[in-house]
Amino acid sequence: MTPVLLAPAALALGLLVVGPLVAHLTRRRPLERVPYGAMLLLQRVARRQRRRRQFHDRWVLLLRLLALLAVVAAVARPELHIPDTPPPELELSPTVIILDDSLSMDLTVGSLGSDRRTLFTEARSAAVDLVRELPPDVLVAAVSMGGSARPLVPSLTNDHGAVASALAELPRGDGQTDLVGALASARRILGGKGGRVVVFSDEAGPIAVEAARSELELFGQQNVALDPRPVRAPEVGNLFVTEASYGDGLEGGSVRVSVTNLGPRAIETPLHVRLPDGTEITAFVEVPAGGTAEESVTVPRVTDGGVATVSVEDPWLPADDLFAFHLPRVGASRVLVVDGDPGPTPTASEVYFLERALAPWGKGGAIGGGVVPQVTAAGHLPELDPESHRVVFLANVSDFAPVAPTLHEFVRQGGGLVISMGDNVTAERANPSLAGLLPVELRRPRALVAIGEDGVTTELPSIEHPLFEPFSRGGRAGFADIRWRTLFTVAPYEDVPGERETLMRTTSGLPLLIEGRVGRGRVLLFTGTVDLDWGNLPLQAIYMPFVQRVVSYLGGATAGGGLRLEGTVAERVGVELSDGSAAVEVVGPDGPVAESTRGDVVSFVPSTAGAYRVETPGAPPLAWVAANTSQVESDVRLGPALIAVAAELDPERYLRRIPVAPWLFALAVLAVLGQALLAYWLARSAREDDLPGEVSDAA
Amino acid sequence: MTAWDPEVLARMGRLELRARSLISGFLHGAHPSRRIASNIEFADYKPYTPGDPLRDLDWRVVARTDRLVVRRHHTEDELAVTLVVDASGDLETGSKGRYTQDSRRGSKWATASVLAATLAQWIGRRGDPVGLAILGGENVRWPWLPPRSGGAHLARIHGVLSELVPAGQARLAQGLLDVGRRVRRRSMVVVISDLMEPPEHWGPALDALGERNTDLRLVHLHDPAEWRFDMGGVARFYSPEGGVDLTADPADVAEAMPAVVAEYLAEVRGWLGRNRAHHVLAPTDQPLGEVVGTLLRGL
Repeated sequence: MTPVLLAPAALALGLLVVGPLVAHLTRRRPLERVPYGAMLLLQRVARRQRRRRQFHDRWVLLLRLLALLAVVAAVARPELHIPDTPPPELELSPTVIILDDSLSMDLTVGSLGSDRRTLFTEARSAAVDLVRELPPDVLVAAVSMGGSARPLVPSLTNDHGAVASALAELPRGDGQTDLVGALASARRILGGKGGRVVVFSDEAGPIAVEAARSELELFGQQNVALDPRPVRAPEVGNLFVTEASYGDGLEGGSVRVSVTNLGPRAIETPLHVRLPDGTEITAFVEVPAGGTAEESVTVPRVTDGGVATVSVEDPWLPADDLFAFHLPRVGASRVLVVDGDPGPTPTASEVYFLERALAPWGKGGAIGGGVVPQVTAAGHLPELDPESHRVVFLANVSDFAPVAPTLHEFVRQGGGLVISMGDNVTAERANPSLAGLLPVELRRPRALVAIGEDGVTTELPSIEHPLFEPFSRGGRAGFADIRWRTLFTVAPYEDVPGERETLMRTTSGLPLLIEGRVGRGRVLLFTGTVDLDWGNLPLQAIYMPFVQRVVSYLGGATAGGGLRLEGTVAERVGVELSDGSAAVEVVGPDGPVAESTRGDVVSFVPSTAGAYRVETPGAPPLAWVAANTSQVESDVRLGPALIAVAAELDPERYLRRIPVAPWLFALAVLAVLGQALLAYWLARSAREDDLPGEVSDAA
Repeated sequence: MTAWDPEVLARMGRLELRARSLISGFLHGAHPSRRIASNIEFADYKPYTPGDPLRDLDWRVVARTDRLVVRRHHTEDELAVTLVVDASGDLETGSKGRYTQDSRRGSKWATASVLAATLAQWIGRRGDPVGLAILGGENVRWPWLPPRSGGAHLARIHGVLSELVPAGQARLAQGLLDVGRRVRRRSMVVVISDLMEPPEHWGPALDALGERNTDLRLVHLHDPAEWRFDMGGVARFYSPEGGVDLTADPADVAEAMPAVVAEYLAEVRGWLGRNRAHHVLAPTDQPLGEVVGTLLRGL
């Protein structure tokens, strides 16, 4: 409803209100002065009555001003514009019924039991009733608009029973509202000959209706009348998971879950986290009305990777209660350290410091979890499972040949590899074996300083690189304390963005850390040692956070076995496989899902939220897809009304105009009468009561 | 010229000014005193101490008990009376007074001055000292005359009252504090005023008189026409003492006035009651003899 002035210039008459104000303020005062010996008493009388007198005076003034303002406003010819549906004679024109079967229509209207009523069931009943009540000769068709809009009855027909059946049999979907598509489909069915489109929808969310403007303009051009029939729930609310993600650190791993409550009251809900191996963890979270709450759930020390789900119990809209998210392999074997120089004692081991930096609490500590390295000697490389191992450290390994093919495949599938130097490493053996893995060719070890001298210092790394970004909050200066006496030199090279990049150098310019990309994985070539042989790195405070950061950088969520993808329910997901020759299948939460393959791309449509695996039977998954319902649909709050947008575009058709001037004139008359009555009553009561005359200060 | 009213003075001859409490003075007079002295009215005995007059020994008791005792008697004392007269500008107004002056016919001041002069005359004739304090006014030769006896002193009081022109503000609070500091203990103070200052201003000053155990009597002068606001038509009313004018319709104000007067009198009596002062309403249309009778009886 919008107020409009047809003659706004008439508002200038509002200056007339000055008249009563001036008259009120400039009443004539008697001039005769009389001496009076009991002014104390007269002042008390005046003070006692002044407030009452002023109160009544103000009411008289207010009523007079109100009368004048009402007259002025009436002269300005105000109108109220109310968006309204077209006249009823359109009911005889060809009609297309659009039924919203999107996810948001699952909002509960009635009870939660087996006879649960939702916005969709209400809208569907109303649509069926409308079709059945249409005159028999009216042509009718039907369109759904959940997910991708599709015609239920693709052409106009007077077989109302068939249309009603099509509508009655339509199930609710989990897709988004496709209002634009539905309107276009309806317009096409009408074939440009005009008609009526009846829309049964909740008109929820801020986007759907606004996006339909262009289509509504075409309605006007093709003489199609819009007849929205919004359905509303008595209580609008929704409790849903907006975000869930896994994060690890020194304290272990946990899943952080954000839950949003769009309802009018705070809710405490159980939070069920279901891990890929079937483990279910329940926590409780209290979510304020109209707000979001976060909860962290600690996961077991060893957990399979895959797609986990978290669900809440929602009294309003159950359809979006489940949220799927990627969970990397969590457990003791995520980091494999290959010790190329075990040494006679643990402390003499090449990787003694590396182990302590990765798991400072020890392998069996009570707060274990997170990064616990598996250490093996060179030549005993176990079978590398990208789902189990995320990062491999090769520390001072002399012979790479036995492990090179495995490492190559591991990195190509997304694994992370760190190659550090030492006395055992020779360019002659490393370069041929690790060709394709090494970002640059190795040359030879080079002593940087004479014996007894301090080593060469390290240049501060750039915090713009993701590896060092966390050190922007502190600790970056610690890199300057690292000194090197010996480094392995490399062949001349240039940085190539996205392929090869130098991440650390000494202050003398020698490369210290070089990153290379291989397939979906990364390789970090460290030209120094991870023990004290060539430098003092392990003794620096920056050592442990740096090693931890290397692991989390290389073993990010995208690392590990298989692709990690996100999907939306009712929307097609395409998975590009590196090798499309193998027969693959897609397995969803409810079993195999129909897929189609075009070239190397396997695509499918998730029908419900949850985990979807693209896999070759009998082999590890090629890709994980976490499919969720659209959060646009989860926003069930009322958006702009469809009829209001239509009225904006075509006011002649959709606006009902109500002149307000007569009401304002009536108000003015009432105000005049009111002030006259009040003034009369004041004059009378001034005699009857103890009202004093006007009291005012004199100069 | 202010003069006492001979008719009233004649009627007052039959009255006796009785203090409401025991008073003391330097001269013996007609008022009982708490001081003990030789006199005819026996008070009590006390053991003889060297220096006591031997004629006060009660020989009969000595003979019976063989103890030397002295008879003591109440002394008769004089009563100093201080007249505090409000001569502020408001006293000049009024319309129904019985006492007229050429320049201030029927005003409250006419009543106040005649009352003060008559009281002074009567007290002086009885031989009691009488004083005068003037609050406000113009042409005041002596604003403070301490209580004394004698014809010359009385003539001085009459002179002050006759020459005085009511004007300005009384400033009751300050005036009463000053009087409180000056009067003798256990004397009588008669205040003649219209009390047209907020009671909460001057009320606390009464404590200064109460602390000196004075017998305080307050003659509250007022013009009944003013208190009824029987003031004719709509006009701008002003106080001769200054301040803002108030434009008022007497027809409206008159209805509200009784409640305000009642509230005001309750406040006045509240302050007076705290100091055991006697309040005498003195409307200007009431015969002065009645006012004086009430005042002297100390009711």
